[in-house]
Amino acid sequence: MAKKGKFKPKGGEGRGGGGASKDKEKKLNPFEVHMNRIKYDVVGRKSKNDRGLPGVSRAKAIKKRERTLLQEYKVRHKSNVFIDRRIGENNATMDPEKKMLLRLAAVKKKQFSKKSLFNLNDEELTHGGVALTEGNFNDASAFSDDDDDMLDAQFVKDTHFGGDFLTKRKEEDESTKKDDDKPKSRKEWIEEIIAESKKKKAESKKEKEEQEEAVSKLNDDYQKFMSIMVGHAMTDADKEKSKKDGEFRDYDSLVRELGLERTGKAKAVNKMKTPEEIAKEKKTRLMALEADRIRRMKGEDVAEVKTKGFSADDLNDSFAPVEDNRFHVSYKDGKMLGHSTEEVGLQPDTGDTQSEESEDGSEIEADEDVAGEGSEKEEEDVEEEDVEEAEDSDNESDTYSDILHESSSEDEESEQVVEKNKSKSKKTSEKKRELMEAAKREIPYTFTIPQEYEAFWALIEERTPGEVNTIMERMVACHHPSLGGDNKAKCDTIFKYLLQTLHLICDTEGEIIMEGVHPMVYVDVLVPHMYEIVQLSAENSANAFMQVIEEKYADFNTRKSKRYPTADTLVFLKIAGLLFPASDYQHLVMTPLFVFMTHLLGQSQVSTQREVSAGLFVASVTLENVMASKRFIPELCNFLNGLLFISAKSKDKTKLPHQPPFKPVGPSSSLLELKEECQDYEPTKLKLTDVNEKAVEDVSEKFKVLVVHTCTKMLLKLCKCWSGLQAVRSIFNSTSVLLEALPASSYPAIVQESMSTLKEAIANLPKHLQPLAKQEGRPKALNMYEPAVETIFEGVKKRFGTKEQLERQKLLYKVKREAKGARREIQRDRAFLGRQKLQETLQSDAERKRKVNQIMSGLALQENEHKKMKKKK
Amino acid sequence: MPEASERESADDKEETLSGAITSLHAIFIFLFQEGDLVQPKIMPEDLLSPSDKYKKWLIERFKETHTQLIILLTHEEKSIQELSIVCLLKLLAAEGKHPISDKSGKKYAFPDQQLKAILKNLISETQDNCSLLTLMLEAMTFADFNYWTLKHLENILKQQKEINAIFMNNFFALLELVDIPEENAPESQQLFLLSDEDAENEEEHYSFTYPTTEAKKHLNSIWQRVIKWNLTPDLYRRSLVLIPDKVLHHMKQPLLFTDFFMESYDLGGPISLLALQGVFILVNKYNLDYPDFYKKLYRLYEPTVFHAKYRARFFMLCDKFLSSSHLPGYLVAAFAKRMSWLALQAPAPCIVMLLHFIVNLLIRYPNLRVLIHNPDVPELENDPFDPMEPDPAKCGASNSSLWEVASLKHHVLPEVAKAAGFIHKNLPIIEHNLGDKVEETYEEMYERACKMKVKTTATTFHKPEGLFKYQDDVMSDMWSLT
Repeated sequence: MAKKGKFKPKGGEGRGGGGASKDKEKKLNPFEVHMNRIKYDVVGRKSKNDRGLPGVSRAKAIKKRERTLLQEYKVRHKSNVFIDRRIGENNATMDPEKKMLLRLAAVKKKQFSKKSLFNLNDEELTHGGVALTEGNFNDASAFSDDDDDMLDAQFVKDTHFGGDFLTKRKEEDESTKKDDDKPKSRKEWIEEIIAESKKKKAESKKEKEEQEEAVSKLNDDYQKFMSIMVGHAMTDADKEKSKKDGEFRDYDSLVRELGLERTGKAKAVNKMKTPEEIAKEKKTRLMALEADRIRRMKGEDVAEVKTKGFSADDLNDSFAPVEDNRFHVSYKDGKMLGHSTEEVGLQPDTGDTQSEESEDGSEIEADEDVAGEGSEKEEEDVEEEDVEEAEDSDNESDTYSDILHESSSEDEESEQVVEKNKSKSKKTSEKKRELMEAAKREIPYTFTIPQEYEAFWALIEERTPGEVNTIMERMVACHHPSLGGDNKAKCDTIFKYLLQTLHLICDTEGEIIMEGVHPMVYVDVLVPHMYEIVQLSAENSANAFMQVIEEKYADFNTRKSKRYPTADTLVFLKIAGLLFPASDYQHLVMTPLFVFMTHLLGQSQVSTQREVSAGLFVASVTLENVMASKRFIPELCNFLNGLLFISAKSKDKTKLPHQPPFKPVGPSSSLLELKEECQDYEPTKLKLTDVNEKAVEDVSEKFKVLVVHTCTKMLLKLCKCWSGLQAVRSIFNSTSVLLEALPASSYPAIVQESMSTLKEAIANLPKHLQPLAKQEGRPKALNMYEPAVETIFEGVKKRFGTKEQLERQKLLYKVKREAKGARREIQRDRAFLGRQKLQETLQSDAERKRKVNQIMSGLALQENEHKKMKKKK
Repeated sequence: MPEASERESADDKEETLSGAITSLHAIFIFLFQEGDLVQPKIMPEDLLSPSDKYKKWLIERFKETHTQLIILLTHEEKSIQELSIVCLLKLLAAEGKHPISDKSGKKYAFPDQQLKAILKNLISETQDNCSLLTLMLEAMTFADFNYWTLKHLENILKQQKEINAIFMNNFFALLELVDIPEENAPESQQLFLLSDEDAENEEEHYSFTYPTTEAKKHLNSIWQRVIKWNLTPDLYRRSLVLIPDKVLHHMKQPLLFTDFFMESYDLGGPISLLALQGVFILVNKYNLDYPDFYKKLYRLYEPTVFHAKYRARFFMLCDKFLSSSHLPGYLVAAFAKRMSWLALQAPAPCIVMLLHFIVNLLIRYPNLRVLIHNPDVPELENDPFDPMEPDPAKCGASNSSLWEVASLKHHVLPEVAKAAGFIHKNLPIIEHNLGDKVEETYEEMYERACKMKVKTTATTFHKPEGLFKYQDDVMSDMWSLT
């Protein structure tokens, strides 16, 4: 076949296939061709623009404009367009008879073509050109059921879309030339392709069937085999036995040896630590935690990795196994002693892991506990002490685990034996006693987590605070998350129960846990355990806590005129600061809580003694929470000022600085005003229980003094706390005004003293102020451009930048070119139109001239004739 | 017919009474629809056909019912009052649709005599009818009803001799509802007489165009009288809101209100806040020359402003006032400094708004930036700004710095602290939208704080021994559990 490709017009090169090219290329008039000069001739590069036919293309363009622009120009003053759509009307060559025939045929066709637009019966639905009849439909679905039917890639590449058509054809040509001279026609070739694909499909189908058959056969075989093997499955006992025999063990150890190549070497462990080292470690840990806290306070992100080593969470992890194992072992003992059936059910049946755990676990710890339990049977007190000891040791958990590690690796088995013997002997000797002492009040050693809150309440009801403490301790301990299972969820449940309990005992009609003991005493008992659980699962307990807070906030918010809530809300505000760091810049619990507290302080009414106490409680909680971070709360200062305001004596209270919710008029404006001098005052503490008390009509003088005293103390603390703020003098401005308005002489000496210290502190606040100035930023450096040196030049300039940048550059380039082209087109259009107009004017001028001439000549003729007539006369 | 006798006999029993009212209502509505209630041609008595006689009699009964219902508006039982007003309004609509006397001359036959009778009774001087008047709220949304009410209000006011508090209250309740539509407003007004389902087909029959000029005349005459009243504090506040919103632009001489607004503006407190808008409109649109406007505005910036009911309105207006480009620098500086000073005592939701306001001012007036960037001044002994000085020119704000904002950067709530962050950073280019923040409440802040995402939940690391036994405890020397 002839070689394809463009021929260069240069005569020398086109010599070989001259004949073929001459057919295609028109013979060009050499005077019409314009050769573009090429600046740099690159060998082998094809150029499109090396020659042009300016005359031809100009003529083409003009013709095109005549067809389009000129037509538009001509109809520019016409608003409608007439389009003749009659058949053959635009065709001048058609003869009129044929036109009529065609039109008649079209009308007939229109009449008979379709009865109704929506008549579908006459039409045939198709898919891919195949009619969708019953039979076809099933076939059609079979076409595309599987990707197995896909033709393989090579085949597709070879045949479809012309694929490697050209190259293939060439090869084929050569081969076929040898075989038979006749080349294949296109039809034959396509048939071949179809045959091939069909064959392949059939083959793959067959293959698939075979595979399926094989799988099903294997399945059958396996079933048969299993039915034979039913009787010979391995039981646990067998495993145990084989372990003892050492067969498995040998095998396992062998594998390990092979794997690790560290046979016979004992595991390296940390060295035993001296008390000094322990203390030092504790100190460093606390320091690290403190550093973290400060970072959070500033609102910086604490790096995840850093916290991992020191965080509070980690502390638990390392101390977790201790507690877990201790109880685990004691449980074992208990079981051996046949002591409580309840425990059996409780312990997670860990199976194999149990043995592993005991390997890792603590032997010393276990020992200790066994001893402890033994003595427990005799005296309960001893037991409690023991637990407390263990409790105390929590903080030193790190060290414990270290010790444990060491001891566990050593002579583990021997000790176990000793221990068992001990407990057995004890068991026999004390059984009688234990039965006799079956006291009601005995606290079980393990607890299930009750399903309902009532059950939980029943557990702690009628217990002394100490007992409740023990109960909680044990409950938390035996559901330690590191014991596995769903213990973490159980811990969360305990936390929720604790929250509920707190709510109940702090309510106005506090649920009484034990006669004679004020329910609020239990708050102190519960708090440490809440702390423990929060340490174990911070996330979930924070969420549970937030739920409570949200509920409380909603309660507070429902009233239109805001009132201070009772202790069952306030106690949560306080506890939050114990469990979560109040100094964090942002915290899941503390930030909403701060909003809550500012809302309380900012909008709640203060008109009774109860409300004053409640407000003071919230204020002191807030104060405590901002002490560490030294952050600013306007509401806190406003509230304390407000309390001073209602204690102040003044004829016109509206002149003293005040803010809502404190009103300058009405009975509440002088709620805490002293009626007479009060000198017998001993500084006492405010009580949380006061918050729940009903409103009393008269506020006692002592209470008034106490409030003022507390206020001044708190303001003093605030003063110190905020002394770093630049505007601190403005903040305490109104405080000093109010202090002046207080009738100082009516107050006892101790209060007067604290007032004067406060005044002094305010006066001593830093005075000097540096006007604000922004820190000068570093001057912006000039962009440095490195010379873009290309080591290998590939003919095209390389462009650098991201994909988007390059894309953008390309687009911009295209836009520029298009704009240029468009501009040029418009210029040419205008030129064309200008020419057209000129032509028209010339034409009309010529016409006019012709007419003028005509008239003039007529006139001349007339004149001529007239003269002639004259002459004749 | 039995109605009349029934009405008289069952006067004291409310149930029977309400039953009677509803049944009468149903009967007359039906009669109107049937076209039986049409005035027959006036003829001598003996020439009337029986059907004409019947019609005549019906009309008499209808009028009687109407007067009785109006009397019932003063019935001691609230429910009866409400029932009768609803009934009256419905009958009014029915009559309007099927007018009794064929007034071919008048195209739009609004039964205004009946309406006048109703209104006259509602706006009484002895009975506070505010709750009844609220029932007319729906009817007042119709342009035609609104217009005729306005017309009759004027009439009633002219005839009223003695004006007491109850009358004012009643009158105001309706006056507040009067709304003259804009002249070039789209013609989408609904009509009282066509409020039912047959509106479309009778549209061309009842063509009603709102007589704006007449309405304005009525309104003018009403307000000229009202403004002379000795208003109660509540009405005073209401009129302060009402006038700038709905009245002022319909007045012929808006400057007549100047004294009213000036006096209120000078009163101080919440009343001043309310008068602010009226004063502003007068100054802005009607070229009122008000000296010391900004001085007085400055005086309104007191800590109590954050707790006022009209806080949002006040700050939006202030934003408007302080957007003029011709204000002197010292004045704006005084406002900015005053706001930052107030922010030290403001409740948390307001602080964010104030800070945004200050940022906006700093963006608007570039020469104010000296408040946040003033590097060349040596250390100061005291803040040159005097918060007690009422004159913005003398308070010395332009020599001061916004230390308060720098302190607020340490606010306990991260939201506020972030808003104050501009003090050490570059100012934003675009102004904050103050409208988002002026009505901020604690509740919204709380919700946002709850939704905020925190990566990790940090915990404390010192074990508490009890509620007041804690490592760095502040409260233990002041509080105990029991």
